[in-house]
Amino acid sequence: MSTAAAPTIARRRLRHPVRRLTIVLGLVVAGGLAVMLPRLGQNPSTQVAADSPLLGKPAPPFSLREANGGATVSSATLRGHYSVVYFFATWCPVCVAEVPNLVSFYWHWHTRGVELVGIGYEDPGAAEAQFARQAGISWPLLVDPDEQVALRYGIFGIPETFVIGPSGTVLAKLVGAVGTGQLGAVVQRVMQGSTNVSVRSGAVVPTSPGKRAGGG
Amino acid sequence: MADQPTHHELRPGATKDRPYASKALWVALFAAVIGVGLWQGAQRPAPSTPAARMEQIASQLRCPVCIDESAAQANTAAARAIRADIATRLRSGQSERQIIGYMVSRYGRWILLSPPSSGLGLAVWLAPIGVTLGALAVVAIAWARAVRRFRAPAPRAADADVDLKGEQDLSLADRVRRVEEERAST
Repeated sequence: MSTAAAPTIARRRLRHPVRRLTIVLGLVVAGGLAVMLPRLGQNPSTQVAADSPLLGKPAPPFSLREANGGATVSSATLRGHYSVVYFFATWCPVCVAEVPNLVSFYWHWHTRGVELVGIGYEDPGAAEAQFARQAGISWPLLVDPDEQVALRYGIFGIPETFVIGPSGTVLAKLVGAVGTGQLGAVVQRVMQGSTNVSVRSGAVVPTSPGKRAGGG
Repeated sequence: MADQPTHHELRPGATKDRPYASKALWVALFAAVIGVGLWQGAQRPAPSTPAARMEQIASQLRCPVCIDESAAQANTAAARAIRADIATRLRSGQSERQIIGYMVSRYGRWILLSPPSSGLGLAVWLAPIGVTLGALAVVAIAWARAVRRFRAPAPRAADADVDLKGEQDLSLADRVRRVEEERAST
């Protein structure tokens, strides 16, 4: 074969239907891998971030008993106020560590009409009541016996925090620790008219230490 | 069945209408395999008891606090809560579609174990079908060409001109040399 014919043959080979199809298939597979491979290593729960479908929707109703055996607190009693619903657990290290942040948040914002309630996740009432006494917590800690309220709020880890407007609309969601000033800043933003605020910070505890070994 | 082609008949000079019969056979075989596969895939056993219905719905949902485990398998509080909620909703007469829609309204599409059949998720569903069809086409074309090459009689010297018509990029000297080479070899 003369050298002049080489490019023509190469071009002709490319025109061959099998080669063409193979190239197209190869490109399709390579493209698919390029899109999918980076996602493989990620834990799905870390992808959820704080984008709850509840943002902008009416807050799911609840009516739960206080851990200290006191009154029943319902979502209806929070109407007319900006309120913060904080899902936590006494066995969750992140939640325990940030009690001081919540105490200072509560003292600052409760006087400005903001309500705060904690809803325990996988936590017996007695443990919550003791926790409240020891940590000097003065906002209501509620018991969610079968985690049904957590399900209504689409909880996938704790702590998770929802800010609800006076009309009962979910305005903001925070995933992870609320931090020293973060929750206050979010409340300020929604009071100034922001909606659909979603914040993600720090670690989220996926499940209780005892259950983690058991099954999932 | 009696006149099935033998290896001898596939040799050059065999009857020319035979390849269509074998092609049709292959197409029918592929169609049957794919048809049976699709039919099997579409067959979902209808759950008879409420517990089985609950199980079937929960198996389509993620356990929210687990990694790649369904709400039907996991033994976590969150998975138990989902199973209990599904059972309650089934008792109140809600359909599977309504219940799954409810879960999506709380957790987002993330809660679904199967990728959604829209957007990027649609590509995940279609890619295997496309790649399989493409691969089948590659095999079919390669097979057809191999058979054609196998059946084609050896080129005679008289046909050399016709053969070279497609090779007009070759220089005249090359074409002459090839024709002469082929003449010499026959």
